[in-house]
Amino acid sequence: MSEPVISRHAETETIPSGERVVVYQNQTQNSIILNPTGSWLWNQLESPRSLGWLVETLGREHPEVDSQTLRNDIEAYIGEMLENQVLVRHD
Amino acid sequence: MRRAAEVLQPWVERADGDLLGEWTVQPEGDQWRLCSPAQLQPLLAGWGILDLLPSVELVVRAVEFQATALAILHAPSPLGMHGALLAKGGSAVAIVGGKEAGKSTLSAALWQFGLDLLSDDGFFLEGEGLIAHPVPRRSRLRGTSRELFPDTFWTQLASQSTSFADQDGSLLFHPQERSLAATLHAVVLLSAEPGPVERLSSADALVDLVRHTYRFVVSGAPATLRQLQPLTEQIACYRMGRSDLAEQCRRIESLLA
Repeated sequence: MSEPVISRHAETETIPSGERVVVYQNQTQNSIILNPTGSWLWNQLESPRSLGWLVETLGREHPEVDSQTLRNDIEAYIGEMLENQVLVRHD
Repeated sequence: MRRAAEVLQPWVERADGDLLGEWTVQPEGDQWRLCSPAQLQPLLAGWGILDLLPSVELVVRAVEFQATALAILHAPSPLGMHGALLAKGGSAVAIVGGKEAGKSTLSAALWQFGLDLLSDDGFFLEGEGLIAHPVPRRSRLRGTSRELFPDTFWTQLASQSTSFADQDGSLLFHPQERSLAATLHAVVLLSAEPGPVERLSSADALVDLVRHTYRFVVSGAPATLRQLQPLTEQIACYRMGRSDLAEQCRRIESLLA
């Protein structure tokens, strides 16, 4: 079974601010400030990516962290961003 | 009408020969009919603004209000903010905040404290967002602020030829000194809740300040966030909770040091 693919919601606008990213959702009219991990994740999602690809890519930057921990963290973060309607999950 | 000309003189000084708008006033029974510039008509209809007013004082106040709206519509700089602007030695601090956060009261207290009060209502930013031009509308103190100031201060303000004491107890006045522009040094987001002063990250400042820009209403959030972004990268922005006025003045002055 192939992994779900994650992409940015079409109704979002990206405004970089310092080391962070502010994401504005046009439909909900909410602004969300992403933390450094979220900003990294957002920048990777300029194109749709699978969860596995994100875990592998972040793992290369943080080889000291085991992949299951990374997967859990990314899943949790993506869950929050899905709730805020700034990401879309394609199963 | 001589008094009206005095009140509106700062607008004339800033116009630099360009006509911002043209208003005509005619007596109608025991009231005054105010005819406003055509480009304002749709806005005024939406706001439910009256054009038949019982006194010249209220006509002048209406023209000031409408001139501010026109200035926003025709500003050479797209970035303007609703808030106070004070300066010391050419460096300015902007104070923005929600309704009844205490911007005007704090501004008047800072004026007493020795800072130049350039505006308690709004300003425009030009260039890299560092030069702030105040809106030359009169400042306004609510009647509830009166007890926070010495009687002599209030009486002196009320006795100025350009001041207007409204029936609701509020007082409109022009500060004595006028300045055309100052270099913006810091922006303070004033909260009505008690709390300390804390420096905001540029991202927090961006999200918190956007709703205090004039452009937000006209252009929407995404365009305004992009417009405001360079400012929040360059200027120190703070959130300041309420405390007693003297303490708030000391805090603001320390930000300009």
